[in-house]
Amino acid sequence: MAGQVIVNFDGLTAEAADKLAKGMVDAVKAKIDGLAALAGKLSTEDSLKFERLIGGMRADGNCGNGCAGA
Amino acid sequence: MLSRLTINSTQTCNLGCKYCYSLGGEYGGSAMRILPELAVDRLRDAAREHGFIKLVQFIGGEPLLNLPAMEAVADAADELVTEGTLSEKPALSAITNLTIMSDEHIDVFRKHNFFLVISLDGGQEIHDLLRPTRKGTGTHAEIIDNVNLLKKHGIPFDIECTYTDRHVQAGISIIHLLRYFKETGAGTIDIVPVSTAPRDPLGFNEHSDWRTVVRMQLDALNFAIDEFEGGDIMPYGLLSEIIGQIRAPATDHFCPAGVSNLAVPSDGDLYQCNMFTNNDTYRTSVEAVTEVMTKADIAECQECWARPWCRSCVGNMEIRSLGDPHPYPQHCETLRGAISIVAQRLPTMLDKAFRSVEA
Repeated sequence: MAGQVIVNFDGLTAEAADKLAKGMVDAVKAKIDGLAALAGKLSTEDSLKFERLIGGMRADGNCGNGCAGA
Repeated sequence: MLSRLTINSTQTCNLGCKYCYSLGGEYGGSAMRILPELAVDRLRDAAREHGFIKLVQFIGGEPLLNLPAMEAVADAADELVTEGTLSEKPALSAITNLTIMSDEHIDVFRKHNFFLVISLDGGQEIHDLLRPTRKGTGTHAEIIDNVNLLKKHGIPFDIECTYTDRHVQAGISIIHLLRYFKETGAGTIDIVPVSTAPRDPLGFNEHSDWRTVVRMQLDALNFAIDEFEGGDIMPYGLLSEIIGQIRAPATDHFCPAGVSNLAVPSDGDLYQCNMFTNNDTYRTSVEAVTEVMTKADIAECQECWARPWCRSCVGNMEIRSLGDPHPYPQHCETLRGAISIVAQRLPTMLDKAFRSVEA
């Protein structure tokens, strides 16, 4: 639920924080890419759900601002 | 390759939003609309130079006030594909207040498969307070009527909410807004904290104010992940954005401005992003990719573990600190917290949310 404890990078050296973050991010990336590769085996419902999660114009590493505020 | 070509079909607006960064759509200049022929010329220039444009996005002011320019550009995109100048048709979109929509708008949107990004700030009371007409009357009811029209005609849309200190004062959390907006059927729900000049009453000026907003965004991110784990869909833009940033190649660019983003204001000039309209520092040409500030230029980024995946809006940085853009703590804390949460929780979430892959 909201407010769950997360990995805390405070107190780590910059080098240790970099390594920890990279390891975590690489693992997540592999997991998502693995699921994307299996997309054809997903049920229709899960396939739509997955597309909503990773698809769309916003999920492309863009600026993330979306020009809000106009 | 261009990831986005924005066209300010107008630089004027029928609303008087309290926090508008474009100063009523005029960006400190004069009210104007782009001529359809000029908009098409700029699209053709960009197509010839880049060969592929992922997204053409109409923006304002209020872009729907100039449907002829939008339609001319959409038709020209088809022609450019037919003649082979573009390898495929760009996605077409508009960021709109959705207070103006005729049968003609619907016909164009359907013909060219537009998706819309609708600015909506919450329920009637808070929205009408922040986004009234220039005469001061409310717009919420009209927008909801038009959202229903979009749904009737199968035109997809996202919602974008600018989150202000007024929301906090009214006790409206980001989770509250996610639940409210989900009922509209929006594809993605973005709730973005307002960027203002220092001391603006709608902004988050004090340390305790912006820390509250960071916590709310991270709470909402956990909430969205909880919803996915439970088998439901909560299309919170921040979740999709962080996933996108993690999957994209590491970069030292804060944003695509000057890399793969080009902006055409209503006078036909060119900028690296529409956020910089009328700011000469960011003027550019269709051929020249002129680099905007990167993380390598910022001392605080040098030892930040989130540097490979961080993205930020340099336009927002300019709003907060004109002429001296730099990342701000509210953004840095949100990004680091959000990447931490996603990196830690996503593997479990994916296992729970997508059980059919085991079958």
